[in-house]
Amino acid sequence: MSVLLKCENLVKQYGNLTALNGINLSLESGKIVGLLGPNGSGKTTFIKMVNGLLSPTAGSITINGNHPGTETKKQVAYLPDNSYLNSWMSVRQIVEFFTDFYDDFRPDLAYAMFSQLDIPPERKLKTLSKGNKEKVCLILVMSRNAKLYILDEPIAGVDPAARDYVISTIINNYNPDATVVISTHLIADIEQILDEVIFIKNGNIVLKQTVDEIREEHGKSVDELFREVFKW
Amino acid sequence: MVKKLFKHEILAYLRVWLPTQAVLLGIALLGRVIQLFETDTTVYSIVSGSSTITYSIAIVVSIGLTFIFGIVRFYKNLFTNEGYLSFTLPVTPSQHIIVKALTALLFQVATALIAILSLTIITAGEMLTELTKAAVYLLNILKQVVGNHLYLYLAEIIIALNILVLTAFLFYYTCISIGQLFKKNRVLAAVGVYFGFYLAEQIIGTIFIIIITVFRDKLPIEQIMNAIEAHPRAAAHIIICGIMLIALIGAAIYFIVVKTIIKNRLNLE
Repeated sequence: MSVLLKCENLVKQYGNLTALNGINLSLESGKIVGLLGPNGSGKTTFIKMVNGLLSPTAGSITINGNHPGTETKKQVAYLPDNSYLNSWMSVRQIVEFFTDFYDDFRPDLAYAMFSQLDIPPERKLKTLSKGNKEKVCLILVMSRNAKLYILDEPIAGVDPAARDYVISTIINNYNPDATVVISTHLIADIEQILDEVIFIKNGNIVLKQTVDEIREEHGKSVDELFREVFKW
Repeated sequence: MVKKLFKHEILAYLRVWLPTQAVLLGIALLGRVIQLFETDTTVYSIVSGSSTITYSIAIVVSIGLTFIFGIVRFYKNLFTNEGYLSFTLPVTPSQHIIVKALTALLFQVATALIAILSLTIITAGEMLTELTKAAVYLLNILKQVVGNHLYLYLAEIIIALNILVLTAFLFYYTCISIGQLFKKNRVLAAVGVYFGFYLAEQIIGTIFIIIITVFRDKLPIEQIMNAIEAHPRAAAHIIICGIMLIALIGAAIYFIVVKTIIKNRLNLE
């Protein structure tokens, strides 16, 4: 499998604070990867850098051989951990927006998923509940035929029933040749869909293993190992 | 991509701009209808006076709102949560800035045209005829003074105004972008940057005046004044084009500052 995402000595500093401390990482295509760590460990900083929303202080990051920029943005589908849609738009308008800007966006798939949720296309985003807004964001991201999906805390703000919906939406709709990076601290809920996990602590990668390796080597689930590694 | 950015930028403006302009045109039309019932009564004077005041306020609000929307749109679409979508589109920072500034200018021009249309509506009839006559008379006098240069002057002034408006938007974008470099209270910081620029401008202006006053004997002021007197028409062109050039240099500097901040120092909250 080819290397999709590569980081070399990636450093990010905010003044005196080091958010990422010389990360080296390679991710191959066709995997679902859990980016796991407590709050403030550097997950969101890393994700922002992959998406070109932050510049590295040092080191480099490449996606399919390109540094973050217009070329990588065509290939990366990003779900931030906050609601980022223009609330005055209707569902149809935001679908048209995505269709215009992303060549890999599949509007039919998006409409089919909205229909399953009984969200009419003419509905304004500001009239949707918080949970439905988050589902709309996820549907838009997963309706892209991207090479890399980056999902920042996709299940943090939703109830347990909705978490199942989010997880099934991810596994049913992602491009199988692509890599999905899911950042979360709610490990038990997503453990069953992960191929690989990365533990990040104080800006350092402290573990990168497949889920099977963790079970074999440590005799623990990912959730149990996480609790052990990040014990206060 | 630029075309698509323009399309969605224009759509975002239209939802605010169209109702505002419709209200302005409605007030102008109402004002004109009121004039049809002109009488010498006190009631008419009050109603007519109120409609004129309302119309004047509406014009100011319409132009002001369009200008403010141009600034707010830049901030909201790029530096609030919406920025997470804007900056993950396959679009460069330069394209974002150019499209934002040009769309803001486009709607400012459209607002000015609507203001002229509303004036035509409210003065329709005898008053409009008189106003048109006065404008033609004024243009004829100016033509007698400056000859065929008049059309060139008008074209230059229109271009200069557009450049000045564009530069003004880029200046506000610069203040907002510099405000983003702060960790907290970024909007407040942007306001502080604005007043900082204003203060710097005043200080530089004062220093400039002091230099001219102190060194007036050593500066070729008299020669410049003589040259203006000898070739007033050419001098006017040079002054207008000079203003355009200075504004364009300012716009270029502001653009580079905003682009650099977005490209290298972006850090959405």
